[in-house]
Amino acid sequence: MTEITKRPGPLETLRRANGAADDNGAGPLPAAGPEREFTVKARSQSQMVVRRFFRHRLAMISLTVLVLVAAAAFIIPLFWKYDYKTILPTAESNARPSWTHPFGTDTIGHDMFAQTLRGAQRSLEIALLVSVGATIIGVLVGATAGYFRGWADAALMRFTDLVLTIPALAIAATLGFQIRGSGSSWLIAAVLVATFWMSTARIIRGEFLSLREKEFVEAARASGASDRRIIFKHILPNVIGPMIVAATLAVALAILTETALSFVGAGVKEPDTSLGLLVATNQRAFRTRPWLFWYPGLLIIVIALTINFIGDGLRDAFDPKQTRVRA
Amino acid sequence: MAELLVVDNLSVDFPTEDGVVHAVRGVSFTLNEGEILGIVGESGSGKSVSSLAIMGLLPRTARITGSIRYRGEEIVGRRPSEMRDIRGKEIAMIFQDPMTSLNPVYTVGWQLSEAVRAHQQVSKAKARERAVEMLDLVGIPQARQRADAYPHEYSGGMRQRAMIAMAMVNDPDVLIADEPTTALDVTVQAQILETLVRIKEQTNAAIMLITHDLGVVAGMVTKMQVMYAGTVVESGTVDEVFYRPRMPYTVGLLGSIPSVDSSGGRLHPIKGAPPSLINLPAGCPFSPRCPLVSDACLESEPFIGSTDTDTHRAACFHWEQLSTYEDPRVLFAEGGVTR
Amino acid sequence: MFAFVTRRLLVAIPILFLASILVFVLVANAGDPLENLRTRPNGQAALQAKIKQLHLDKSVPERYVLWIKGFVKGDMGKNAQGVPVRPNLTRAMFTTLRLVLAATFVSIMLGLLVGVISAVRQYTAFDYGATFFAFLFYAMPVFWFAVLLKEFGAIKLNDWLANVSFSWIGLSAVAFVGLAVGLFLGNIGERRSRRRATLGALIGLGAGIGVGALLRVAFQHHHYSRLISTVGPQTPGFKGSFFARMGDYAGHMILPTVTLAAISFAVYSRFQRASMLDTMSSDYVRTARSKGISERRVILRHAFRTALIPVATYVALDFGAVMAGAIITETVFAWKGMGSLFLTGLKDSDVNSVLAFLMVTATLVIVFNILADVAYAYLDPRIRLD
Repeated sequence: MTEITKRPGPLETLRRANGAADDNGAGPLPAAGPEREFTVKARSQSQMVVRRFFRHRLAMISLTVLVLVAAAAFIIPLFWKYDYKTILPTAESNARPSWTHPFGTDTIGHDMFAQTLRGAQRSLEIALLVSVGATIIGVLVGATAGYFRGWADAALMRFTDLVLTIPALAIAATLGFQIRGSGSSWLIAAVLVATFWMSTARIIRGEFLSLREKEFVEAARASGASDRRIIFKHILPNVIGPMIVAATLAVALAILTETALSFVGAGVKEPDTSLGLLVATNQRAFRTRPWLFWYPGLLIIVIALTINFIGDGLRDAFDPKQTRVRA
Repeated sequence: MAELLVVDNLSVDFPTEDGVVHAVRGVSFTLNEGEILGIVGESGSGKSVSSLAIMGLLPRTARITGSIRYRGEEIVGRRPSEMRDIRGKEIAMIFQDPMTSLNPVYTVGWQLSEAVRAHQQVSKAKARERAVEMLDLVGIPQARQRADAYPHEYSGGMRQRAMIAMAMVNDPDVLIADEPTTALDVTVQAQILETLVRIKEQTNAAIMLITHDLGVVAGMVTKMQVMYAGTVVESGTVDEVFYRPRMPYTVGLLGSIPSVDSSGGRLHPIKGAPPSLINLPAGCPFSPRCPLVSDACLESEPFIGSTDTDTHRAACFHWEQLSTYEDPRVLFAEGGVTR
Repeated sequence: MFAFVTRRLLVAIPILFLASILVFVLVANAGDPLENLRTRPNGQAALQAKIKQLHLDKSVPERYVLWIKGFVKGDMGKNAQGVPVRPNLTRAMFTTLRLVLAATFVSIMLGLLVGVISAVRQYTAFDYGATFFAFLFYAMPVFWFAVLLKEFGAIKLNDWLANVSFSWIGLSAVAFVGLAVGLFLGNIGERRSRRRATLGALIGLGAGIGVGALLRVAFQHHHYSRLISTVGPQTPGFKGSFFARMGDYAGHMILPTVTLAAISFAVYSRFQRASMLDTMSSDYVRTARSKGISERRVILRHAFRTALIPVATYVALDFGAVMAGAIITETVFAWKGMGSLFLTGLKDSDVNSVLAFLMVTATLVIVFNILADVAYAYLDPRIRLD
């Protein structure tokens, strides 16, 4: 990424115009006050992005919350008294939240705290996998289509459009309904990847299409660079920004889709659990034991919300001008 | 000649995250009936902001002080509804890029009609008639059919003409043209300027022509002023300013133009860059780049004052020294600078 | 324009065919329709019958041809219970369409409105509030929201309505709400004019008192329970006047529509806001202002009109998501629409129902995309030269 010519950010440009060192050899400028003593520090692009991201308060708070939740989901079960699979004696079922069972217990006798944490684990794992997988495939497809254009582009895009005529949830449900047993969660993730890569491909293709017409690509080509070199060393580093933003937002979308899938019974299945499955099994309990319903749902919202804020912060960090029409 | 527009000590400030930007600092000028006033300056000199202030088109965060009087009535501080009566009817404006300045989803005729009906109580048919009439006047061929076309179906030059037509449709007394030719090809530029002159002769409107291109100014305007760092640094008739510049910045500008006449000579561009309008140092804003700079220049900023004649004014302590040079442009040559 | 539409329609046909292949391959590989029967003790005969019925002894391409030949003629086969699919599907389709169209309509109208106000009144309390809700709805799972609405929007509301009597307290509450709404609306004009704000407040107060009085009278003589229903699209066997039936439909439809519309609403409002901010700072809006036309006209005729263009493309893309949302919403509110047809089909390993659902959905998506394309061409004359 640092191979790209260092593009100064907006503040940098302002500082430079302010009377930074005059490089025409006309000598140092007369100091007319402390305002002239600017030092221009050239920063690499990635440093600027990181700095901008850390300044985004909402994104930082969200990042902290998300890390805490993820840490809780993965670390606490190692110490927790109850396992998510353990079925407690009937006397302890349907218990209200208490110190022993912070989220209560359900009809069968599971400790809800353990179940919720496990559900969060699963949902997070699947969402992350889906995002990574979909991004990789999406980038491959999108880059090929956007860079080489021609019939490869036409064919790939027609195929993408075709698949998009069927709602992603429907495809995923059809495939996922039959998937059971151990290792099923990974298969579910694979199914979701198959439905998610399209939008990433679209975005990446768009970026490649516009970048490939830019002057620096023409210059590289004029100096004899091969296609591969142009793609990897010139275009791709500029695409990393939108790619990371899309991947982050995809995680949130993946969680919501996976939970929806599990809700209708086509996602994660028993004995394993996911947040969506927990909501599904306990929706009728709402009147009598609302805690069974609230906690998994709120957790989904917290996770999706924090990821959305982080994605927003990343988008601001990569492109402070916000020239694109995005939410 | 009646005084149409009198601008007196106009200043515009914009508060920003990095500080207050003093975009316009104490600008004064007068525009009389039937005159063409040329305003020349680089980007950031404040020329566009001054014209936007006259039109009342500055964002709400802008702080305007000073006075702008149109036909004797004060404009600064007027309510937006009152400004709207003036805009498009008494004072009109055309902008730099005609492609983005025209709404792409409405036909050209519709947009002109809208301008008509904003100020005149006429039927849609009458408004359209007026629109076609104006398009014809600015030289759009087959105006009646073209009125139903969209902006993207026009060429660049035609679009700018349509803009002129739209501005003139209510017969304003003042037309402000903000860099009307900058986005166009050179050959088209001449046509647009010629159109402007023709319009002025037909309607006797006064024109404020804003540009960074000295060549544009030379052929057209009666009087001109040069702006730098938010203020007017020289003003006078075209002859006075071009042949007897009394401010080193003007000299530098003139020396930066390649001329067909003087062949073989070197161009002497002005070294350095314009100052930031947030942290302006004390003294003359041009001092860091000026070949005639002295201690007086660094201490206080010169007010614009008369030089050879009353009409020819410059903001420089050393204008008399400047007048002694046969060809003052050599002051900017390499090695010819002593500090 | 006519040529544009015809061209789009013609292109749609091969797309539908390709979609049918895709759909068939998907379903053929997705599961085992004989699963239930395999485990039954004396299911051998039924098993053989099923294999014959679904032509499972033939290869996938052969099966596809058999299926598609029947499908284009309108024969959608029989479901797992041997009942023909088509009549069920037709009924289900109208039910779902009702819901989906209503939700789309509501989400677009509200989304555009909120988006415009958010942009014009940027950084105000309204804007921040709208932003907060948009983000919340982005992160909200449809099914969770639906269950919540069911509980609070219906069951609790109905309980409350059954017991409520509209006292003077109630009247003042409604009047107060009227005042607040009036005050708010009065502030929406281009400038904060005190006169308009007080006028709005007074009108709002008057309206609030009027509505409150009406409600008071209404509740004195009737007891409305089950105003908002949560099960199914209508009360079965309901007989009453036209208005009563309409009321019944509305009461049943309001919650699923709100659920389905909520997330789309959030997306559209954000998009419209961003698009408006873009257009409001554009050159042609500056030109429009320089012509001296009213601010309201500048915003509506110039900024808003052009801001719609990118939003229109997004509405088209979103339809698929709305259909997906409908699957879930129908489950929660027990509507026997296409979504439940699909899910039941999956559960019963009913190949024909699932295939029918997928094909019809794909068709609806394509039709909607064409409509959106037409709207887009109408909005943006630059692309009509296609």
